[in-house]
Amino acid sequence: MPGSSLKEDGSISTRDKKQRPEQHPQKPVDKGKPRHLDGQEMGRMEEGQELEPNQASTLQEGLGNQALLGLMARQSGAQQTTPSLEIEIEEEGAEFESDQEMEEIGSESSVSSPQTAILDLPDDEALFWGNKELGGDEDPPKPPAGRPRPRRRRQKPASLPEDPLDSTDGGATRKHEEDLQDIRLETPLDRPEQLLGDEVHDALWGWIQDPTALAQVPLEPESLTGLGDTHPLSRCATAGALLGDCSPVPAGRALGKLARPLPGPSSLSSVVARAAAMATLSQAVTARATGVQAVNRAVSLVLEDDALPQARRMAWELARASRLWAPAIFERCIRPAGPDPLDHGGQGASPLGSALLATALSRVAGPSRLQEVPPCPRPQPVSQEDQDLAWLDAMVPGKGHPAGPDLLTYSALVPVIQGVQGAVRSAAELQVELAAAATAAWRVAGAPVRFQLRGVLRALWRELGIVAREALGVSEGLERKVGQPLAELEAAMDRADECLGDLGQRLTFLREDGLAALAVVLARGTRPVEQVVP
Amino acid sequence: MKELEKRLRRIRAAVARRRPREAWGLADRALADAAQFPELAVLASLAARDLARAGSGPQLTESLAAGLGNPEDRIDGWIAVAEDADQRRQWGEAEQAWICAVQESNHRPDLVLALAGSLLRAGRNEDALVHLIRATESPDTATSLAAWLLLSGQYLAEKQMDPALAAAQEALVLAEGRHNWLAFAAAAIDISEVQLVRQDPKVALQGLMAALKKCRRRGDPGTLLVARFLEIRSLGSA
Repeated sequence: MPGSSLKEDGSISTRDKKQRPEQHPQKPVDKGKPRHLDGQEMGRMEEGQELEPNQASTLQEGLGNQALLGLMARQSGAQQTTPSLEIEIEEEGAEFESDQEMEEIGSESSVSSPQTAILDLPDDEALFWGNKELGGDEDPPKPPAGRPRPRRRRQKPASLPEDPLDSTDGGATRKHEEDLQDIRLETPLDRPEQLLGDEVHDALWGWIQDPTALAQVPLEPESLTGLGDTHPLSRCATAGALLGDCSPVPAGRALGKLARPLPGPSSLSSVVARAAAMATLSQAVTARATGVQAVNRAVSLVLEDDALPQARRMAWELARASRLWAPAIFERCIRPAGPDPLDHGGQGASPLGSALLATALSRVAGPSRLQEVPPCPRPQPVSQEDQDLAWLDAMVPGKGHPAGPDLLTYSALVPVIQGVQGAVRSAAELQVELAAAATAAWRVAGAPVRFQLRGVLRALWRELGIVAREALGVSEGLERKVGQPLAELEAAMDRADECLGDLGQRLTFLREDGLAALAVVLARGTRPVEQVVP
Repeated sequence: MKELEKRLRRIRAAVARRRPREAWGLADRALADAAQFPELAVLASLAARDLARAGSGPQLTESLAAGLGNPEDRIDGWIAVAEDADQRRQWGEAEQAWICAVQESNHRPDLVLALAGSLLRAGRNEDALVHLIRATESPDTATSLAAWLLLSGQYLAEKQMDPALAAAQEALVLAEGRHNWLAFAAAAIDISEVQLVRQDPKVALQGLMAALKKCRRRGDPGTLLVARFLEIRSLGSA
């Protein structure tokens, strides 16, 4: 072969062995939860990729509810306003708050505004976060799994790392190192200025960088289990799952569903190559409806699926410092050692593109766990026998004054109160989910959208507070009516049902609006990419 | 009826654009009113399905089986039925629906590819071959490239080396034309697989090296090709 130094026996010459590729320091490698890939049942690839740590799910159970309940208890007298579902998007720099300012907010203790009230938790609530049930002080939620952070760098050649063959995550054997050195010498990596054709669909590109992680032959079916969430094959399946479910183009959905192990290949590199090819072709087909950048961003977003565990961890830390609110979670997530973002100018996306971005954000935020509130108790027809028994009970010393069957009892209200508490807990959880989505959006779009993202979170936080306050106000109003005849409370119950009945729907709309607003921010902070037909 | 049809289409568009409030706001009366017009039955069922209304799936199938709806809605309807069945892993039902979609669309290549994909996921690889071959004739290079790649994989699985090589070479050309270096790598790896089976590792390595050079000249590191290279070398040393 001209230009190469292949020997006659097919081996490659190993000249200049002094120049060994530098190895990156050992990164923590996420082994992931072993998953079962039995050929045709490739759908399982998606399972377990959104929420892994058991502690995270334990934490989620109580996340923020006490904080919000504490706030609501103090704010019950506050005005009850129907929330406007319009989401404000702060313009860049309009409400700039420095990190220092954020710290100051955290140290304030005034209860004069909801913002400061939620930051000022009473001691018992702070203790709640140290509760052993949540893992205790010594056992915070596990940090997100270590994962390679190679990002899309192709549009910024200046920031390209060295040849990826130089950095193989320390997984290269000595023999591999020699081979890689030879390949690097034989085939220098060029840096073209312009991306052509499908090269613009490079969301997966950064995840397929380490050849030693992809070299495995012969390939047994069981070898595909336990590859971990950060393995390129898992990344392809995650990208394919998004497009397979949400591409507006049938062919895009069909190809997305094929971005996973298919029968035929006998080596890992072949399995990954075919899956990645299907994913990028699905992207290319989808881009016809959504635009190139939207689909590329959407796939990049859905691959940021460690944002939610990270947001949970940050929420845990912030709650201990009595600073649990979405903008603070977001700031904390993006502050420490985040990846250097790309610099993009503004450009909108098509409506379908924005919808796809919102879908990707929704996947990052995880499934919604919003709860419905059961209907308020109503008077039940009571038999004469029951009334007699109740009258006799009242006569017996020590029995106290039993609530008659036609009176509102506290126990009858318990399901409603629990429903309201569950919904408020969902509202608090929603903050973490939206902060996670914003974190993923920031990772993809970078610094220019930071303040808009935070503006969306602040607006959502305000709306969530209004919804939760209103629900708790109704719940408390009902509690005050315990002991009154149910028949006289019918109108009050109707009003309560009307308010609480659509609580789940209002939170659903808030989640949808929040994700849509984040998607709009992301679309605005999108540099236009034209696909050049080669 | 035209107004009602517009409203139903607006519901679908609102769902596609993730505007649930708008969709739900339109849905209640529109879906109820549509019951009076059999011509709109398929469209109304599709809108109800988009809104995840209970019972919309069987209703859609019934409407399609009754021959209702305009051709475009019927194709969308069959696609929806097929994808729902795919989701439930009811492969037989999915195949029938895909076949209806293909027939009513006058053999649209992307739907032929989708039918083949459904069969592949069902493990019916041999049945998928004929549809993959048909999909390779698509004028859309994304569809034909995908079909060629899937085809070469299937031939490799069945140890049919000559057709596998031919399919992989077609895919290689198309992938290079599209600058899709991941597909390019998949095709080059398939070619190397054929050459390995033919006991010709030297040619396999040379082919990989040539493909790798092409990739890296375009700025793609060719990681998958390098991985394949390492695999072949490790096989050799073993």
